[in-house]
Amino acid sequence: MKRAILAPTDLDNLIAVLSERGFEVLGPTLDSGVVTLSSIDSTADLPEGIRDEMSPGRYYIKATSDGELFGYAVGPTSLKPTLFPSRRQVWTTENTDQGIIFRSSVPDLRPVAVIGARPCDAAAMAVQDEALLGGPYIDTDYARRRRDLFLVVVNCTRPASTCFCASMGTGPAVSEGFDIALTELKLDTRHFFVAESGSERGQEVLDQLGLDPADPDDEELVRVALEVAADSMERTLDPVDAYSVLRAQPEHPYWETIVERCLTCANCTMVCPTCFCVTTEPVTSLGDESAGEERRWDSCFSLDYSFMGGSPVRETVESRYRQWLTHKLSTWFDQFGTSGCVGCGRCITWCPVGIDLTEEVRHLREQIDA
Amino acid sequence: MLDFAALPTVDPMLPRPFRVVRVLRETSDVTTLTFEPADGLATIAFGPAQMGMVGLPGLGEVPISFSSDPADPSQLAMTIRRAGAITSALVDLSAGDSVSMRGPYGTEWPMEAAEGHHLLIVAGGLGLAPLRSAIVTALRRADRYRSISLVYGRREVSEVVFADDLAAWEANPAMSMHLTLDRADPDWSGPIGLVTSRMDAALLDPASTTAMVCGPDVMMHAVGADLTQRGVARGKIWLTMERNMKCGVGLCGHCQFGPLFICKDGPVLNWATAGPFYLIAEV
Ligand SMILES: Cc1cc2nc3c(=O)[nH]c(=O)nc-3n(C[C@H](O)[C@H](O)[C@H](O)COP(=O)(O)OP(=O)(O)OC[C@H]3O[C@@H](n4cnc5c(N)ncnc54)[C@H](O)[C@@H]3O)c2cc1C
Ligand code: SF4
Ligand code: FES
Repeated sequence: MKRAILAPTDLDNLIAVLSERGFEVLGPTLDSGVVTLSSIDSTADLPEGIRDEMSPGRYYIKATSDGELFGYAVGPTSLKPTLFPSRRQVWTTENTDQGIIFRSSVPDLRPVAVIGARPCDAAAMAVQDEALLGGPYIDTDYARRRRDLFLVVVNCTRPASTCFCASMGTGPAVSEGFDIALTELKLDTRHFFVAESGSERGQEVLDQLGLDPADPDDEELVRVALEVAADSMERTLDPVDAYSVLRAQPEHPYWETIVERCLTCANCTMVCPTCFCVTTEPVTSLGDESAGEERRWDSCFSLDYSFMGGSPVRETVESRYRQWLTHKLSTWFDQFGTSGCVGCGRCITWCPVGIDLTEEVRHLREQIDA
Repeated sequence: MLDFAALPTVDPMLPRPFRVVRVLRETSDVTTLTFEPADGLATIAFGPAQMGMVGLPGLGEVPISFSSDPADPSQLAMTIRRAGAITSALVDLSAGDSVSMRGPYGTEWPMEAAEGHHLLIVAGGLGLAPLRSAIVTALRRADRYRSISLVYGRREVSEVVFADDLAAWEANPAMSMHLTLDRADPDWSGPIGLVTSRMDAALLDPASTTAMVCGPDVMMHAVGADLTQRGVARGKIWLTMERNMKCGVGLCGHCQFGPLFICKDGPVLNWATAGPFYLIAEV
């Protein structure tokens, strides 16, 4: 597809065009010290000049005056809360003369456009698509939100130290699943984006903006910036090796070492952009005697998760950590044909004790080989 | 590219209203409920060992196997033991009460693949519920199996479910019955011991046997290992498993057992597939 040059003011036009087309536009914003995703009206809402510095269990925001609009990597918020809300009503009952009726709770949803999702977010969405829409039964609420999503991905030129998408094959440049992909370039004299469409409607929107085509020099700048970004990543994970490492020795004594660290707080599963486990909860309304069911995110770290016949199947900390890591990196392949990990590094950053899955896999590999 | 227009739009988590039409108290803790749809639509047609998510609005839903004859969906039934809040409320229902119901879900007993074989059915306690549908299905075409045997183990004499069926099966020449009690009891004059202690008598020809097993995990583990050792092929030893289930349709994650989703890859699985994971603690 032909690439175009987008000036920061064109980005404001993009936001305006998307709102005119009926989308609620979400973008990265700085909120309570983290870069998150919320409604934006213009580029003025974006976290200009902001950097995020991450390491296991640590997240810092740093302000700069360089004017980059997407100069950070990822905050805790992936596309997951937008497409797969943490809590939603599933159905309610209605008492009629003919008896009880169950009604699907189908909310009025305004289509959402997200500007500034990361390549790993797009990859995670593809992973969730497979889990939630692969059938035979599908998540119909996710399907609606997903169908209506307009996705503008911004490639990463400043990965965090916790990012390892290059080794997972999911970044720092997006390859599919987007409507428009942008790469931000801030040179001494110029600040611009190189834009590329990934869908027909993406191209339509770009056409509407009336952009100049990118020249080969600009394309070369993008290529180099993304190559440098990929090469700068400190962490790596080999998804194929991880698959076999985790399959090899589920009862290796190594797993017990996790007990001294893992708090089973479930943070990793909450920030993970692919984790899709949910539980259901009954709701009752005293007013009209109707009842209903809510669905909310659950985690394989909770004891209730595996409760059966009076006790949890996975009682020990190591069995729950093993379930998480084995599912994410190994059995996910058996179930859905890909890794359940996209290399965004959120679980490393947001783990209060800084457990790093890339290190865990490496240690396990060393122990097994020893 | 995803073709959204081709995706189903009906939420699989949306239940239908069903009404209890008959209540049979099997024991103080176990009740068989027969249901009919309360929405005027067709009832649920299921295969042997398939389950439904049955519930009470405002309380929650639980996975329960259909225990009636699959050939007669008009008698759709479940046999439920009082375990916690939801099953207790279900066990205490009366005719006319309504429930929420979804299903049928999961894999079935391989009734046709087992034809030409000795059919060895092994039940522990209420494990007989998902096997009842297999037994009635097999008996209807008993000539297709070389033999049909039931090994049924219980902890207490009073635990007996399907008393009428058991009596009828005792009297049926097509059926060979091997009942046992876990431990001695003055009210019991039959054999004492675990179900595995009845295999010498019940297992006729390991090479041409298909086994269908349901009971607590420890019991299925023991039977799987025992039958394998006796020469029954791992792929011909079938189990039906239980795991925590919140959706029944592969969307909540709770029922995972290694790479398997018990709700859609199971609940019926063979020992070749499920056996290796049984050996891993807390998998
Ligand atoms: C495929 C399948 C078939 C089943 N068939 C039958 C049957 O025919 N008859 C019968 O009496 N029971 C059956 N069960 C078990 C039944 O689902 C549980 O007894 C029931 O979920 C307990 O719910 P509770 O709220 O009353 O108990 P509690 O002990 O309070 O349980 C709380 C929650 O934990 C979960 N849970 C607890 N025990 C189990 C369990 N054994 N299996 C799955 N989830 C559990 C449920 O989500 C339950 O709501 C089956 C389970 C499965 C998975
Ligand atoms: S993991 Fe890759 S795609 Fe995701 S934020 Fe980091 S560099 Fe960007
Ligand atoms: S019960 Fe929800 S995935 Fe199996």
